[in-house]
Amino acid sequence: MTTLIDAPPGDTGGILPAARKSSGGGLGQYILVRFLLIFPTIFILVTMVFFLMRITGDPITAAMGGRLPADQLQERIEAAGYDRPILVQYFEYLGQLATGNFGRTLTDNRAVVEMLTTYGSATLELSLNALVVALLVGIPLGMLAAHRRDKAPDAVLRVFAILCYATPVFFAGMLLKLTFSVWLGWLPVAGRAKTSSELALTSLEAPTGIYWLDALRSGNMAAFADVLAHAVLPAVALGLLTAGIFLRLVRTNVIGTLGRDYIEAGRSRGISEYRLVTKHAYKPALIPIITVMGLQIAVMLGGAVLTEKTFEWKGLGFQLANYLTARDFVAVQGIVVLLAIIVALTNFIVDIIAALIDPRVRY
Amino acid sequence: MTKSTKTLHGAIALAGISALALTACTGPSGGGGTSTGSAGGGAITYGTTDKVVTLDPAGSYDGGSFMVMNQIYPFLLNYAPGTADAAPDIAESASFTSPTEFTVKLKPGLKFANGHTLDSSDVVFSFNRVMSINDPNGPASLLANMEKIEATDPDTVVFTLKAGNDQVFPGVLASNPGPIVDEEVFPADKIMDDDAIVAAKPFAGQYTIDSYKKNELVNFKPNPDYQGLLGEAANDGATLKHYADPNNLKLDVQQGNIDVAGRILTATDVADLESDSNVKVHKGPGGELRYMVFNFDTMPFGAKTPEADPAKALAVRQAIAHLVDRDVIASQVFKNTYTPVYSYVPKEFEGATEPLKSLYGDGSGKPSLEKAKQVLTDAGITSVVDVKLQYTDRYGTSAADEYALVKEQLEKSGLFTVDLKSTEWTTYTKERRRCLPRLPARLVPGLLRRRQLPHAVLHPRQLPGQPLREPGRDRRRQQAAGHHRQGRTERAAWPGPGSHRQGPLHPAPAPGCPGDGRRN
Repeated sequence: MTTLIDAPPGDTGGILPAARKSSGGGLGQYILVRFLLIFPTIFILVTMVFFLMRITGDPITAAMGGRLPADQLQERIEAAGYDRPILVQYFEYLGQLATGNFGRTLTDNRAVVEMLTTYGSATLELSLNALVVALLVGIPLGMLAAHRRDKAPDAVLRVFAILCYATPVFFAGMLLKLTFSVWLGWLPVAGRAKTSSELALTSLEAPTGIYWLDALRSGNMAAFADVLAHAVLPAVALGLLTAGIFLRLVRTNVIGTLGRDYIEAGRSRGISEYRLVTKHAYKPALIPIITVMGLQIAVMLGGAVLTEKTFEWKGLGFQLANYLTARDFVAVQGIVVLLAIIVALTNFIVDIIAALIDPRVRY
Repeated sequence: MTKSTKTLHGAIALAGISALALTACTGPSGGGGTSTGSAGGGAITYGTTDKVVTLDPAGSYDGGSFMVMNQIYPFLLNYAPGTADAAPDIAESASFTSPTEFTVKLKPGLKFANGHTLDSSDVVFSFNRVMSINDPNGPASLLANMEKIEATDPDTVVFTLKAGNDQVFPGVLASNPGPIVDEEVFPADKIMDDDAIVAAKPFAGQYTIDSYKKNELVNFKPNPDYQGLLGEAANDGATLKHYADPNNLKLDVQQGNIDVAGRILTATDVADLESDSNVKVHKGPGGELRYMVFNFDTMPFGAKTPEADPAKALAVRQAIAHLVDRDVIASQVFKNTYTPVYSYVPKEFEGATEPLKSLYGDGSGKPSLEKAKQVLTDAGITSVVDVKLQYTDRYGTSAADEYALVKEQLEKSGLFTVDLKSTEWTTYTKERRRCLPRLPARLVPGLLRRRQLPHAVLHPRQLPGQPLREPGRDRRRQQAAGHHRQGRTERAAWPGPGSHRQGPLHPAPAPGCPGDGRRN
């Protein structure tokens, strides 16, 4: 659903006239179509997850197959209804999902919905932090690389970008930890906050689970500073993954924009190169960033599994890894479905924003 | 208190059952801790890689859960600091009144933290509940000898046993099925959710839970109404912090974010921490054994192989026993956090001997190539023997190094070639269950024994600032070993179809067989 614009801004390549002809509707219709597409997307994802999880057998056997005698195992399989035809289970599962019932985890007997809400906020916080890092690093450096095209800074930044998105996130995380926590001792090793901060934040009434937000709400600035300190390394490790992509994308688009007529016109009027880049060229170049951001949310959620594991950031990714190890497929199914829904919704939102910014995408 | 000013910054448990005993040497938490201390000794932060399966005693039989339960639930019997014998906890008296009857009289005026009365009805409910739920993760198997439990009056319960004179039974009451729960809170037929338990406050142990984030953070507060064996808490509370990665645990204790670290640090980490002046590492003898076991059917010359020959199979096992250099494994892999053992019973236990020391190797504990060659030759084995060695890393990341070294030692002799493989734990347990309906015999019994701190030597309550206890878990393992389980052991086996001979100390394996995930 995400529309990725590869062509330089302004270069319609003959597509736009045709698109305009075929659109036959405005922004409202575009949003409606995009919204309706969410449902089949989620449906397909849920179906895939359900059947893929059943490839290795039923969840009870997967989780407890080694620890129960055959008769007790069978008893539990029957009690849970996993002995019924797969399609019956599937439609029942769809019905449960429709009512918000994701079941209970097999290994620690928790309501999956409760588990998702508990840990979802931590993953949301990490993703937001990482996104900020990606934007703060990727966009300025991309503009700098474009501005210094084919010169030493450009070459260095291009290599840096490749390193960013080619380095496995867990490896980057370990390097960062080793450098800034172990050797330099500047930042915490792991976790989301010090024990004292966590106790203070979890004792709040109706906490959001996003620690920096809870710390701000409670006016606990010491906890806020502590939470930020804990957030730096995980956010950088995960954010750099996307920053590299942003950097290259911004660079390419700014270079394309810098060759447009209106930039030439500005240049001929004596506007400085710095101003041309930072004021006139970068805005059109950012449109692809918005669309790519939708895709990057999925990448980030994938990266969050490894980042959370590396930094003991107890979010959905951390739990997903644990439940996978324990073969708790009910929990895994719940987490994966939630992540799928998040990705679908995020892409929808990004599509809307892209359409608002650039009417050409409403074809 | 900062790292630089801390004299004893933290105590490191050697990945062990007695980890909590080692918290004794720490003071109130520093930067990362819950330094809300007062005259009572402050609070302390303990880090662990253990996990809580559930706070419901009917649904867990694992170290992580039991450690928390030990703080919050009362027991009929418990272990007094520094002793190895189960003694009355919330019971006034507990003894055999006939060979098959064990009678317990409760102290008067007991109550839970939620205000509910704790009487014999709760006790009966607690044990019957464990049995009736019979959760696969639960400790019901430990009550196998309990025929029934009855309340004769509000303060008295009588356990009727199937087999008389069960000297292990008091230890069972002080172990995993022993927590007494509030019958007004817990459902009789299903496991209760942790958050619901915490909200209902059915606690009557030394501590109550103040806040709870499962497998993240647990905050304990002293329970002023506790009347049990352990007495009043000597501090203002404690925080339990869970870690997934032992490296983070190690780094956090070094950086002062936690006061105590335990379960499970690698031997390398322990060796590293010993050189850190801010951290104090405690060591002591322990009861954990690591074994290699053989599948008698599929091993070389095994019963179901084309060349089946019991005498040759025996020779293969004996030759391996002659060749394994326990000292080298202990020093190179485990940095001497394990020591060689030549018995099924660790030598610290009264009456234990080392009969295998003279039986295998050069007679003094070192390997003997000559004897290995001889035993194979005598059995008529003249060619190199191919063995398949399989391990799981469930019991620590050192397992890979450990068995790589075993492979090296065996192959270096020129008598064996070893196909070494590792198996992920869940697959391992499935294969073990499928392949080993009965327990296999051991070839290299007591390969290594973990050096560990027994509770009887240093109990946390004997030292200042100690908030948590994990009484008698080590002892329970030993006491229960002949009854239901083997302690934490590492084993290598050949998964494959067929049955296996049973080891001399092992009972029927399921449920509760050695290596079962619930036990570890």
